[in-house]
Amino acid sequence: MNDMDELFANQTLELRRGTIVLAILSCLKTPLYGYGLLQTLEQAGITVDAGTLYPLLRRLEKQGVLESNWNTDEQRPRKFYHLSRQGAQLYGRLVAEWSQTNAKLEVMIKQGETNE
Amino acid sequence: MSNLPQRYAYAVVRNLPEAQREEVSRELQATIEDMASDRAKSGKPTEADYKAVLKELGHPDHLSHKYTASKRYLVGPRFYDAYLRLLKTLLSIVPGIVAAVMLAVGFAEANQPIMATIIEAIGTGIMVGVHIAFWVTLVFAILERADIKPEALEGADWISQLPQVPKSTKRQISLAEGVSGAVLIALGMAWVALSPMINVKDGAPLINPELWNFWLPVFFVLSGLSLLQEIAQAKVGNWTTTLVVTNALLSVASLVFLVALLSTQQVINPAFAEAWGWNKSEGFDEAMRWTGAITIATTVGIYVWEIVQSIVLNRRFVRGQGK
Repeated sequence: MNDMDELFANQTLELRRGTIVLAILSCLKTPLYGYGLLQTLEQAGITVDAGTLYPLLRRLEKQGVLESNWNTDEQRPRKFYHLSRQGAQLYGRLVAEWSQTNAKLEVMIKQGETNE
Repeated sequence: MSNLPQRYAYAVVRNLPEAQREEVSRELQATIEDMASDRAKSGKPTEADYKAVLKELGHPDHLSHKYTASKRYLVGPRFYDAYLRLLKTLLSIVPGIVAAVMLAVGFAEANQPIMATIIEAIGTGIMVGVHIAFWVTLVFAILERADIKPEALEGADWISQLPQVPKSTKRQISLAEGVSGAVLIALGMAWVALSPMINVKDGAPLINPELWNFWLPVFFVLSGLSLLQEIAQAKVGNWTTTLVVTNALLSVASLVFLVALLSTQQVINPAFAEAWGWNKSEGFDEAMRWTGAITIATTVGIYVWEIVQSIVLNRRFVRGQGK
Protein backbone atom coordinates (compact mmCIF):
# COMPACT_ATOMS: atom_id res chain seq x y z
CA MET A 1 0.00 0.00 0.00
CA ASN A 2 1.48 3.36 -0.89
CA ASP A 3 1.23 6.51 1.20
CA MET A 4 -1.76 7.89 -0.64
CA ASP A 5 -3.79 4.71 -0.14
CA GLU A 6 -2.86 4.57 3.53
CA LEU A 7 -3.82 8.20 4.01
CA PHE A 8 -7.12 7.54 2.28
CA ALA A 9 -7.78 4.45 4.40
CA ASN A 10 -7.12 6.38 7.62
CA GLN A 11 -9.29 9.31 6.68
CA THR A 12 -12.08 7.02 5.53
CA LEU A 13 -11.96 5.29 8.87
CA GLU A 14 -12.29 8.65 10.61
CA LEU A 15 -15.23 9.63 8.41
CA ARG A 16 -17.04 6.37 9.03
CA ARG A 17 -16.46 6.17 12.73
CA GLY A 18 -19.30 8.44 13.70
CA THR A 19 -21.70 7.05 11.14
CA ILE A 20 -21.67 3.47 12.43
CA VAL A 21 -24.03 4.29 15.29
CA LEU A 22 -26.39 6.00 12.89
CA ALA A 23 -26.34 2.95 10.63
CA ILE A 24 -26.99 0.61 13.55
CA LEU A 25 -29.87 2.67 14.90
CA SER A 26 -31.47 2.86 11.48
CA CYS A 27 -31.75 -0.95 11.41
CA LEU A 28 -33.17 -1.47 14.88
CA LYS A 29 -36.72 -0.19 14.69
CA THR A 30 -37.52 -3.86 14.41
CA PRO A 31 -35.61 -6.21 16.70
CA LEU A 32 -32.49 -7.87 15.31
CA TYR A 33 -29.84 -10.06 16.89
CA GLY A 34 -26.17 -9.16 16.57
CA TYR A 35 -25.21 -11.38 13.70
CA GLY A 36 -28.42 -10.59 11.80
CA LEU A 37 -27.63 -6.90 12.19
CA LEU A 38 -24.09 -7.49 10.93
CA GLN A 39 -25.47 -9.16 7.81
CA THR A 40 -28.06 -6.45 7.25
CA LEU A 41 -25.34 -3.82 7.43
CA GLU A 42 -23.11 -5.84 5.13
CA GLN A 43 -25.87 -6.11 2.54
CA ALA A 44 -26.31 -2.35 2.69
CA GLY A 45 -22.60 -2.03 1.92
CA ILE A 46 -21.53 -1.01 5.42
CA THR A 47 -18.79 -3.22 6.79
CA VAL A 48 -18.39 -3.40 10.55
CA ASP A 49 -16.12 -5.79 12.45
CA ALA A 50 -17.96 -8.22 14.67
CA GLY A 51 -15.40 -7.28 17.29
CA THR A 52 -16.51 -3.66 17.06
CA LEU A 53 -20.23 -4.24 16.72
CA TYR A 54 -20.87 -6.37 19.80
CA PRO A 55 -19.16 -4.13 22.35
CA LEU A 56 -20.86 -1.14 20.71
CA LEU A 57 -24.30 -2.78 21.02
CA ARG A 58 -23.62 -3.48 24.64
CA ARG A 59 -22.56 0.11 25.30
CA LEU A 60 -25.63 1.51 23.55
CA GLU A 61 -27.78 -0.79 25.64
CA LYS A 62 -26.07 0.40 28.81
CA GLN A 63 -26.70 4.01 27.77
CA GLY A 64 -30.39 3.25 27.38
CA VAL A 65 -30.42 3.73 23.62
CA LEU A 66 -31.17 0.07 22.95
CA GLU A 67 -33.20 -2.55 24.74
CA SER A 68 -32.76 -6.27 24.41
CA ASN A 69 -34.60 -9.55 24.82
CA TRP A 70 -33.35 -13.07 24.73
CA ASN A 71 -35.20 -15.22 22.25
CA THR A 72 -34.92 -18.84 23.27
CA ASP A 73 -37.51 -20.24 20.88
CA GLU A 74 -35.01 -21.15 18.22
CA GLN A 75 -32.27 -23.72 18.48
CA ARG A 76 -29.72 -21.09 19.49
CA PRO A 77 -30.58 -18.53 22.14
CA ARG A 78 -30.19 -15.07 20.61
CA LYS A 79 -30.15 -11.62 22.03
CA PHE A 80 -32.41 -9.30 20.06
CA TYR A 81 -31.82 -5.57 20.20
CA HIS A 82 -34.28 -2.81 19.40
CA LEU A 83 -34.49 0.96 19.84
CA SER A 84 -35.77 2.18 23.19
CA ARG A 85 -38.06 5.20 23.26
CA GLN A 86 -35.07 7.34 24.13
CA GLY A 87 -33.12 5.64 21.34
CA ALA A 88 -35.80 6.48 18.81
CA GLN A 89 -35.62 10.13 19.87
CA LEU A 90 -31.86 10.11 19.64
CA TYR A 91 -32.04 8.53 16.21
CA GLY A 92 -34.41 11.24 14.97
CA ARG A 93 -32.10 13.99 16.15
CA LEU A 94 -29.01 12.31 14.73
CA VAL A 95 -30.67 11.91 11.34
CA ALA A 96 -31.55 15.62 11.31
CA GLU A 97 -27.99 16.48 12.30
CA TRP A 98 -26.61 14.23 9.60
CA SER A 99 -28.81 15.81 6.92
CA GLN A 100 -27.75 19.29 7.98
CA THR A 101 -24.07 18.43 8.02
CA ASN A 102 -24.43 16.75 4.69
CA ALA A 103 -26.20 19.75 3.19
CA LYS A 104 -23.57 22.16 4.54
CA LEU A 105 -20.77 20.04 3.19
CA GLU A 106 -22.44 19.81 -0.21
CA VAL A 107 -22.57 23.59 -0.34
CA MET A 108 -18.93 23.88 0.68
CA ILE A 109 -17.80 21.29 -1.84
CA LYS A 110 -19.74 23.06 -4.60
CA GLN A 111 -18.23 26.40 -3.61
CA GLY A 112 -14.79 24.85 -3.60
CA GLU A 113 -15.33 23.57 -7.12
CA THR A 114 -16.49 26.93 -8.49
CA ASN A 115 -13.54 28.67 -6.85
CA GLU A 116 -11.03 26.46 -8.60
CA MET B 1 -19.01 -29.98 18.38
CA SER B 2 -16.04 -27.75 18.85
CA ASN B 3 -15.19 -26.35 22.26
CA LEU B 4 -13.51 -23.31 20.68
CA PRO B 5 -16.53 -21.00 21.07
CA GLN B 6 -16.73 -21.66 24.81
CA ARG B 7 -13.00 -21.28 25.25
CA TYR B 8 -12.89 -18.05 23.27
CA ALA B 9 -15.88 -16.62 25.12
CA TYR B 10 -14.29 -17.52 28.43
CA ALA B 11 -11.01 -15.83 27.42
CA VAL B 12 -12.95 -12.65 26.64
CA VAL B 13 -15.26 -12.49 29.63
CA ARG B 14 -12.80 -13.43 32.35
CA ASN B 15 -11.54 -9.82 32.18
CA LEU B 16 -15.04 -8.37 32.45
CA PRO B 17 -17.01 -7.51 35.59
CA GLU B 18 -18.76 -10.54 37.08
CA ALA B 19 -22.24 -9.21 36.31
CA GLN B 20 -21.64 -9.00 32.56
CA ARG B 21 -19.88 -12.30 32.03
CA GLU B 22 -22.81 -14.67 31.63
CA GLU B 23 -24.62 -12.55 29.08
CA VAL B 24 -21.64 -11.54 26.98
CA SER B 25 -20.45 -15.11 26.94
CA ARG B 26 -23.80 -16.45 25.73
CA GLU B 27 -24.07 -13.84 23.02
CA LEU B 28 -20.52 -14.40 21.83
CA GLN B 29 -20.94 -18.14 21.64
CA ALA B 30 -24.15 -17.82 19.67
CA THR B 31 -22.43 -15.40 17.30
CA ILE B 32 -19.48 -17.67 16.75
CA GLU B 33 -21.85 -20.56 16.01
CA ASP B 34 -23.79 -18.37 13.56
CA MET B 35 -20.68 -17.17 11.79
CA ALA B 36 -19.18 -20.65 11.61
CA SER B 37 -22.42 -22.11 10.24
CA ASP B 38 -22.44 -19.41 7.60
CA ARG B 39 -18.95 -20.34 6.59
CA ALA B 40 -19.79 -23.99 6.38
CA LYS B 41 -22.64 -23.15 3.93
CA SER B 42 -24.31 -26.51 4.28
CA GLY B 43 -23.57 -29.08 6.89
CA LYS B 44 -21.76 -28.81 10.16
CA PRO B 45 -18.97 -26.29 10.60
CA THR B 46 -15.54 -27.84 10.85
CA GLU B 47 -12.76 -26.96 13.28
CA ALA B 48 -11.19 -24.90 10.49
CA ASP B 49 -14.38 -22.85 10.16
CA TYR B 50 -14.31 -22.04 13.85
CA LYS B 51 -10.67 -21.09 13.67
CA ALA B 52 -11.33 -18.74 10.77
CA VAL B 53 -14.17 -17.10 12.72
CA LEU B 54 -12.03 -16.59 15.82
CA LYS B 55 -9.29 -15.11 13.70
CA GLU B 56 -11.81 -12.62 12.35
CA LEU B 57 -12.92 -11.68 15.85
CA GLY B 58 -9.33 -11.06 16.91
CA HIS B 59 -7.38 -11.68 20.09
CA PRO B 60 -9.75 -12.12 23.06
CA ASP B 61 -7.89 -9.47 25.07
CA HIS B 62 -8.55 -6.86 22.40
CA LEU B 63 -12.21 -7.73 22.30
CA SER B 64 -12.55 -7.61 26.06
CA HIS B 65 -10.85 -4.19 26.09
CA LYS B 66 -13.59 -2.96 23.81
CA TYR B 67 -16.21 -4.25 26.23
CA THR B 68 -14.78 -2.65 29.32
CA ALA B 69 -14.62 1.06 29.82
CA SER B 70 -11.97 0.67 32.50
CA LYS B 71 -8.64 2.43 32.09
CA ARG B 72 -5.87 0.29 30.73
CA TYR B 73 -3.18 2.89 31.27
CA LEU B 74 -1.55 4.59 34.24
CA VAL B 75 -1.70 8.20 33.14
CA GLY B 76 -4.00 9.19 30.30
CA PRO B 77 -3.73 12.01 27.78
CA ARG B 78 -5.62 14.47 30.00
CA PHE B 79 -2.92 14.49 32.66
CA TYR B 80 0.05 13.41 30.58
CA ASP B 81 1.46 16.88 29.93
CA ALA B 82 1.22 17.97 33.56
CA TYR B 83 2.69 14.62 34.60
CA LEU B 84 5.68 14.90 32.29
CA ARG B 85 6.31 18.52 33.25
CA LEU B 86 6.35 17.80 36.97
CA LEU B 87 8.48 14.69 36.51
CA LYS B 88 11.05 16.56 34.42
CA THR B 89 11.22 19.45 36.86
CA LEU B 90 11.69 17.25 39.91
CA LEU B 91 14.15 14.87 38.24
CA SER B 92 16.31 17.69 36.96
CA ILE B 93 16.62 19.29 40.40
CA VAL B 94 16.21 16.97 43.36
CA PRO B 95 18.61 14.04 42.70
CA GLY B 96 21.41 16.47 41.83
CA ILE B 97 20.92 18.46 45.02
CA VAL B 98 20.79 15.33 47.16
CA ALA B 99 23.95 13.93 45.55
CA ALA B 100 25.76 17.26 45.93
CA VAL B 101 24.82 17.54 49.60
CA MET B 102 25.99 13.98 50.20
CA LEU B 103 29.28 14.71 48.43
CA ALA B 104 29.84 17.82 50.53
CA VAL B 105 29.04 16.03 53.77
CA GLY B 106 31.16 13.03 52.79
CA PHE B 107 34.16 15.16 51.92
CA ALA B 108 33.82 17.10 55.13
CA GLU B 109 33.90 13.92 57.17
CA ALA B 110 37.47 13.08 57.94
CA ASN B 111 37.90 9.38 57.59
CA GLN B 112 35.59 8.60 54.73
CA PRO B 113 37.37 7.25 51.61
CA ILE B 114 36.70 9.55 48.64
CA MET B 115 35.64 6.87 46.19
CA ALA B 116 33.14 5.47 48.67
CA THR B 117 31.65 8.94 49.13
CA ILE B 118 31.33 9.49 45.38
CA ILE B 119 29.77 6.07 44.76
CA GLU B 120 27.40 6.54 47.67
CA ALA B 121 26.37 10.00 46.46
CA ILE B 122 25.70 8.79 42.91
CA GLY B 123 23.83 5.76 44.19
CA THR B 124 21.66 7.87 46.47
CA GLY B 125 20.98 10.33 43.63
CA ILE B 126 19.77 7.47 41.42
CA MET B 127 17.64 6.04 44.24
CA VAL B 128 16.05 9.43 44.84
CA GLY B 129 15.32 9.69 41.11
CA VAL B 130 13.65 6.27 41.09
CA HIS B 131 11.57 7.23 44.12
CA ILE B 132 10.47 10.49 42.51
CA ALA B 133 9.47 8.71 39.31
CA PHE B 134 7.52 6.10 41.24
CA TRP B 135 5.65 8.44 43.58
CA VAL B 136 4.81 11.03 40.95
CA THR B 137 3.49 8.28 38.67
CA LEU B 138 1.47 6.81 41.51
CA VAL B 139 -0.08 10.16 42.41
CA PHE B 140 -1.04 10.82 38.80
CA ALA B 141 -2.40 7.30 38.35
CA ILE B 142 -4.66 7.97 41.34
CA LEU B 143 -5.67 11.40 40.01
CA GLU B 144 -6.51 9.76 36.69
CA ARG B 145 -8.92 7.42 38.47
CA ALA B 146 -10.25 9.83 41.08
CA ASP B 147 -12.61 11.47 38.61
CA ILE B 148 -10.79 14.76 38.94
CA LYS B 149 -11.16 17.12 36.04
CA PRO B 150 -7.88 18.43 34.64
CA GLU B 151 -9.31 21.94 35.12
CA ALA B 152 -9.01 21.37 38.86
CA LEU B 153 -5.23 21.07 38.45
CA GLU B 154 -4.86 23.70 35.80
CA GLY B 155 -6.85 26.32 37.65
CA ALA B 156 -9.80 28.20 36.18
CA ASP B 157 -7.79 31.39 35.80
CA TRP B 158 -5.11 30.00 33.51
CA ILE B 159 -5.21 33.01 31.19
CA SER B 160 -3.68 35.36 33.75
CA GLN B 161 -1.29 32.62 34.75
CA LEU B 162 0.24 32.18 31.31
CA PRO B 163 4.02 32.23 31.78
CA GLN B 164 6.03 35.28 30.76
CA VAL B 165 8.27 34.63 27.79
CA PRO B 166 11.76 34.41 29.32
CA LYS B 167 13.88 37.40 28.33
CA SER B 168 16.92 35.39 27.39
CA THR B 169 15.28 32.66 25.36
CA LYS B 170 18.48 32.36 23.43
CA ARG B 171 20.58 31.45 26.44
CA GLN B 172 22.66 28.38 25.73
CA ILE B 173 24.19 28.02 29.17
CA SER B 174 21.65 28.22 31.93
CA LEU B 175 22.41 30.16 35.07
CA ALA B 176 21.98 27.00 37.13
CA GLU B 177 24.50 25.17 34.94
CA GLY B 178 27.13 27.87 35.37
CA VAL B 179 26.55 28.37 39.09
CA SER B 180 26.56 24.65 39.87
CA GLY B 181 29.81 24.28 37.90
CA ALA B 182 31.39 27.13 39.85
CA VAL B 183 30.15 25.77 43.18
CA LEU B 184 31.57 22.32 42.40
CA ILE B 185 34.98 23.77 41.59
CA ALA B 186 34.89 25.93 44.73
CA LEU B 187 33.99 22.88 46.81
CA GLY B 188 36.88 20.95 45.25
CA MET B 189 39.32 23.76 46.00
CA ALA B 190 38.02 24.10 49.54
CA TRP B 191 38.40 20.38 50.12
CA VAL B 192 42.00 20.31 48.89
CA ALA B 193 42.80 23.43 50.93
CA LEU B 194 41.24 22.05 54.11
CA SER B 195 42.52 18.53 53.55
CA PRO B 196 45.66 18.92 55.73
CA MET B 197 43.32 19.72 58.60
CA ILE B 198 40.44 17.30 58.03
CA ASN B 199 41.90 14.28 56.28
CA VAL B 200 44.56 13.24 58.72
CA LYS B 201 45.41 9.87 60.21
CA ASP B 202 47.97 9.62 62.97
CA GLY B 203 49.43 12.98 62.03
CA ALA B 204 49.75 12.06 58.36
CA PRO B 205 47.63 14.09 55.91
CA LEU B 206 45.84 12.33 53.01
CA ILE B 207 47.41 14.45 50.28
CA ASN B 208 51.12 14.04 49.84
CA PRO B 209 52.67 17.13 51.56
CA GLU B 210 55.46 17.26 48.97
CA LEU B 211 52.89 18.38 46.43
CA TRP B 212 52.50 21.73 48.16
CA ASN B 213 55.85 22.91 46.75
CA PHE B 214 54.72 23.02 43.15
CA TRP B 215 51.78 20.85 42.12
CA LEU B 216 49.07 22.10 44.44
CA PRO B 217 49.75 25.79 43.76
CA VAL B 218 49.36 25.02 40.05
CA PHE B 219 46.16 23.14 40.89
CA PHE B 220 44.80 26.23 42.65
CA VAL B 221 45.75 28.52 39.78
CA LEU B 222 44.07 26.23 37.21
CA SER B 223 41.02 25.74 39.42
CA GLY B 224 40.77 29.47 40.05
CA LEU B 225 40.85 30.11 36.30
CA SER B 226 38.22 27.39 35.75
CA LEU B 227 36.08 29.02 38.41
CA LEU B 228 36.34 32.36 36.60
CA GLN B 229 35.55 30.58 33.34
CA GLU B 230 32.37 29.08 34.81
CA ILE B 231 31.31 32.43 36.20
CA ALA B 232 31.95 34.10 32.85
CA GLN B 233 29.92 31.40 31.09
CA ALA B 234 27.04 31.82 33.51
CA LYS B 235 27.14 35.58 33.07
CA VAL B 236 27.38 35.66 29.27
CA GLY B 237 25.01 32.72 28.84
CA ASN B 238 26.18 31.91 25.32
CA TRP B 239 29.11 30.11 23.77
CA THR B 240 30.88 33.11 22.29
CA THR B 241 34.03 32.38 20.37
CA THR B 242 36.17 33.82 23.18
CA LEU B 243 34.55 31.56 25.74
CA VAL B 244 34.97 28.51 23.50
CA VAL B 245 38.68 29.23 23.07
CA THR B 246 39.38 29.96 26.75
CA ASN B 247 37.38 26.89 27.76
CA ALA B 248 39.31 24.67 25.35
CA LEU B 249 42.68 26.09 26.49
CA LEU B 250 41.80 25.62 30.15
CA SER B 251 40.54 22.09 29.51
CA VAL B 252 43.73 21.08 27.72
CA ALA B 253 45.91 22.69 30.40
CA SER B 254 43.94 20.95 33.18
CA LEU B 255 44.20 17.65 31.36
CA VAL B 256 47.96 17.95 30.84
CA PHE B 257 48.29 18.85 34.52
CA LEU B 258 46.16 15.91 35.62
CA VAL B 259 48.00 13.37 33.47
CA ALA B 260 51.38 14.69 34.59
CA LEU B 261 50.32 14.72 38.23
CA LEU B 262 48.87 11.23 38.27
CA SER B 263 51.67 9.65 36.25
CA THR B 264 54.67 11.25 37.97
CA GLN B 265 53.58 11.94 41.53
CA GLN B 266 52.20 10.01 44.44
CA VAL B 267 49.07 11.96 45.25
CA ILE B 268 48.12 9.88 48.26
CA ASN B 269 50.58 10.41 51.05
CA PRO B 270 52.48 7.11 51.61
CA ALA B 271 52.52 7.84 55.34
CA PHE B 272 48.72 8.20 55.30
CA ALA B 273 48.31 4.92 53.45
CA GLU B 274 50.63 3.30 55.93
CA ALA B 275 48.68 4.65 58.87
CA TRP B 276 45.58 2.90 57.49
CA GLY B 277 47.55 -0.17 56.60
CA TRP B 278 46.49 0.15 52.95
CA ASN B 279 49.92 -0.43 51.49
CA LYS B 280 50.11 -3.75 53.30
CA SER B 281 47.02 -5.03 51.57
CA GLU B 282 47.65 -6.71 48.26
CA GLY B 283 46.76 -4.87 45.10
CA PHE B 284 46.97 -1.40 46.64
CA ASP B 285 49.32 -0.11 43.94
CA GLU B 286 47.20 -1.80 41.31
CA ALA B 287 44.07 -0.13 42.69
CA MET B 288 45.78 3.26 42.73
CA ARG B 289 46.86 2.85 39.11
CA TRP B 290 43.34 1.92 38.11
CA THR B 291 41.84 4.82 39.99
CA GLY B 292 44.25 7.16 38.21
CA ALA B 293 43.45 5.67 34.81
CA ILE B 294 39.69 5.86 35.35
CA THR B 295 39.98 9.44 36.56
CA ILE B 296 41.93 10.44 33.46
CA ALA B 297 39.58 8.60 31.11
CA THR B 298 36.49 10.16 32.68
CA THR B 299 38.01 13.63 32.64
CA VAL B 300 39.07 13.30 29.01
CA GLY B 301 35.55 12.14 28.13
CA ILE B 302 33.88 15.04 29.91
CA TYR B 303 36.24 17.67 28.51
CA VAL B 304 36.06 16.39 24.94
CA TRP B 305 32.27 16.27 25.18
CA GLU B 306 32.12 19.82 26.49
CA ILE B 307 34.52 21.16 23.87
CA VAL B 308 32.61 19.53 21.01
CA GLN B 309 29.33 20.78 22.43
CA SER B 310 30.69 24.29 22.88
CA ILE B 311 31.88 24.39 19.26
CA VAL B 312 28.51 23.20 17.94
CA LEU B 313 26.64 25.73 20.09
CA ASN B 314 29.11 28.44 19.13
CA ARG B 315 28.34 27.88 15.45
CA ARG B 316 24.63 28.14 16.19
CA PHE B 317 25.19 31.27 18.27
CA VAL B 318 27.34 32.98 15.63
CA ARG B 319 24.77 32.13 12.96
CA GLY B 320 22.05 33.59 15.17
CA GLN B 321 24.07 36.79 15.62
CA GLY B 322 24.56 37.14 11.89
CA LYS B 323 20.85 37.33 11.27
